[in-house]
Amino acid sequence: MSLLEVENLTKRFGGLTAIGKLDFTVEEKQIVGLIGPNGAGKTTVFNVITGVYPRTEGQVRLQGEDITGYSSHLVTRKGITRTFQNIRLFGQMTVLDNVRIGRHCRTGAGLLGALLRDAATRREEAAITEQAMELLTMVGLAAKSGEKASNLSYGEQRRLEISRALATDPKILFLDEPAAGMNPQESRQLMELIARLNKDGLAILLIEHDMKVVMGISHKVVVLDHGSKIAEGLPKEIQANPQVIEAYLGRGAETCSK
Amino acid sequence: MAVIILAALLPLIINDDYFLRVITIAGVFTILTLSLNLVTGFTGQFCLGWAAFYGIGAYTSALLAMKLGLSFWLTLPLGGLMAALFGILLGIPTMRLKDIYLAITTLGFGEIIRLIMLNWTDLTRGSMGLPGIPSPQLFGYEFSTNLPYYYLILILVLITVFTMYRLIDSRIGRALIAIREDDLAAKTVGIDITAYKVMAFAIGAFFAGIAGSFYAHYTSFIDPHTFSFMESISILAMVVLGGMGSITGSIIGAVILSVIPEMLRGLSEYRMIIFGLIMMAVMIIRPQGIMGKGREFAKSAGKSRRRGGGPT
Amino acid sequence: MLLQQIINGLTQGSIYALVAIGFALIFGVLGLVNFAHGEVYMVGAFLGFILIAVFHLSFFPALILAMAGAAILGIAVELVAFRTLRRAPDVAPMVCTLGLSVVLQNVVMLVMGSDTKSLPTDFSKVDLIPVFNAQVSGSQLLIFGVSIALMLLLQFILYRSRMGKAIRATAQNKDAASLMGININRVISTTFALGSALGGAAGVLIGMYYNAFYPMMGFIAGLKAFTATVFGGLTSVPGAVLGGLIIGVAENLGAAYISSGYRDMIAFFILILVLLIKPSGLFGRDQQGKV
Repeated sequence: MSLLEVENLTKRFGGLTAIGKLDFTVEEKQIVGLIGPNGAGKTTVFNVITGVYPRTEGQVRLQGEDITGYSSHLVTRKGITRTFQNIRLFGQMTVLDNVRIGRHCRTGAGLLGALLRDAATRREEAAITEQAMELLTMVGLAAKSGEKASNLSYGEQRRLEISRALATDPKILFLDEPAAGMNPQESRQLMELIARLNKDGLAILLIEHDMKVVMGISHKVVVLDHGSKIAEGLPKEIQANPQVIEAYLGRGAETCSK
Repeated sequence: MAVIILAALLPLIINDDYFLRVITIAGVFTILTLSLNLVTGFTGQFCLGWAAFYGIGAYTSALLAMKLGLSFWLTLPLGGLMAALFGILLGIPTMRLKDIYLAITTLGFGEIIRLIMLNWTDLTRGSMGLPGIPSPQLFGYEFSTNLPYYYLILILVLITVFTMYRLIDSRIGRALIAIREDDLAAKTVGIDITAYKVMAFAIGAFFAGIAGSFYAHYTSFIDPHTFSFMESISILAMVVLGGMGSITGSIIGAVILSVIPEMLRGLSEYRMIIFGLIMMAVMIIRPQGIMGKGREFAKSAGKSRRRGGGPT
Repeated sequence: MLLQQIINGLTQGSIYALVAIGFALIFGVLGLVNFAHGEVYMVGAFLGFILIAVFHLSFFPALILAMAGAAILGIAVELVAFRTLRRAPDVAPMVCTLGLSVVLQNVVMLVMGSDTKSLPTDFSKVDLIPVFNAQVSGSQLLIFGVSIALMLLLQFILYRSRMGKAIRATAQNKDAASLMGININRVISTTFALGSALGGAAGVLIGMYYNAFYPMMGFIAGLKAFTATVFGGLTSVPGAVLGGLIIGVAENLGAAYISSGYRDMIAFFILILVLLIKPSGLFGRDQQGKV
């Protein structure tokens, strides 16, 4: 049984088929790269699996459990957390609070706890803060914990979004173009971070245009074009696959490629 | 702390009955403003019908006291609970609405409630109102002068402020603010935004209802005209002036906008004009209000301009 | 009886439609709601009242001048509440126009008094024309006539004139339109002027129909007209017209057959139903933002 099984996933918007009969899996501790030309439907895949859009057809299973059509917050509770192509932080909250809110779905203090601040609630809050600081340290943002999130630099905001996602304790992390807008050094640091997270046991589904990042880090690559899977395999195989090259560069380009 | 002591000693310092009355009403509006701010300022749900909850609390408390003879100390919380119930009733169907759609729907809700108050004459006596609402009694002592009412509202205000502070600085408060900042991202980090939006409405409505219950027994007469759209706008003006998402701001905004009209008694016809101008001026000059820091206001119920899309 | 109610409803509905068009036009180019639009309707009505009662103008000149006055007010509203807040978050113009509508209501109340004004009734053409088993009064015909004429005029402007094309372009994509050399500020002002003129006309018509002019008349009418706009799809002019007519008819039928005290609630119920079932309205553009 794979960690994540996507079967026959289809999403139609009116007459447009954004995703057509997509099948793929993500295994435990695997990094899967999801690539394809612009408009191929990659972010739509994320959106459908995480409940932002309802699916038209198909099934999604997480550790064997059917989570098809689950609303976003339930999907997160079950163990899939995603980041966004255009970073979506809680701008007016502090860096620390952004990560602390990530712990929301794993904690339980309610109205009474908020009002009374009893010992159990205080313990939980302390644990949340501690875990949040650990995650911030991991991404190198601990020093900025008190800053307003909107004041961070672009690269720092990306890292914050990732640490917030990690705070939800996911079984599998969906990263949507995390290296977008990063310079080569930042991309390398990101790759190292992803590799480290993976080594610690986290599975990752990665959308990325930066081929160095994707090919360098993925165990497996799935290629989409116009909503359909056109190839799947090891990075080396994908790089040599003529259909993939054609999808990116157009017909006739295969003869130019190496 | 010093403020509380000062407030407690205020009636002894300024020994003027009229002043006491004004301050007591300011207290009522403070609770109303704080309660609206929870929903609009902290959770980002724009509500234009807040007077409805105020009125529901008032009528519930008044009717329970007059028709069933219940003691004020029961009708006060019951008024709040009834308002909270309506808060939930409003929250559930509107949870997917945003911005202008939510604003108009809440406006409509406020109007519907007012129309019911006006037309259900068997229950509410319509526009004749409910006179003779009994005053509270505490161990045989009847609230007959302004003074006990002042201390009561002071206590209620303190309870409200305490609740708001505790709420905002908690796991729940973080969730509400997250919803205001970016509700899609909030969903993605595992927050059940529907449940929390409804919770915000319920809690906010509860306190608005409490304010209403107090008001009913304080003035001993209520009618539907008190709980109109103009009232909702006034409360919103207080929230906006003080600063959305700021607890101190709400207190300041409420005090300013309930005391100043009294001070300008001679200009009472201009009261609503001044309120309207203040709302406009705040938006143009300093949209985050007096105590708002930076761009909290930017997130409240407003995202980037959309051209004609759906409301969700 | 039923036919009569429907005729009455269509009359009222045409008025809502005219106001609703204004909301749709403004939302089309700016993506925002003008809360003060109902007050433009009200001011138009009072302008008409003053022109007729004080200056003894006849109906059509008064109508046209009132429309002009409303258009000017509309342009002023845009300058004060929208242009100054172009960079501000969406809520700012909303709250600002809310404040402005309150100011307008109360200023008119101060100037004209809050009592309801009436015209000496040499205007309500009370001739009744029988239609099947119902009657259409002269003033109803007038309302239908003027409304239809104005709507056709608007269609002509929108689809047969350069400015109309500019408006439609701006409504589709403001940035692209400005890159094409369209003066966006002028387009927006014109849109406000057009929408407000229609609103002002509606105000004069309804004031004449019921022979009642009062400062709060814009509030409820504005709300119901906005419901019509939402019903029709927020940016769609024909949708707004259809919405207005439907609400007018539904209201009259409801008031006649259910209860008249709760008449105003019918529009709200329609609004809530629309928002719950098909929020993008009848002809709305169902745009999902990119996630």
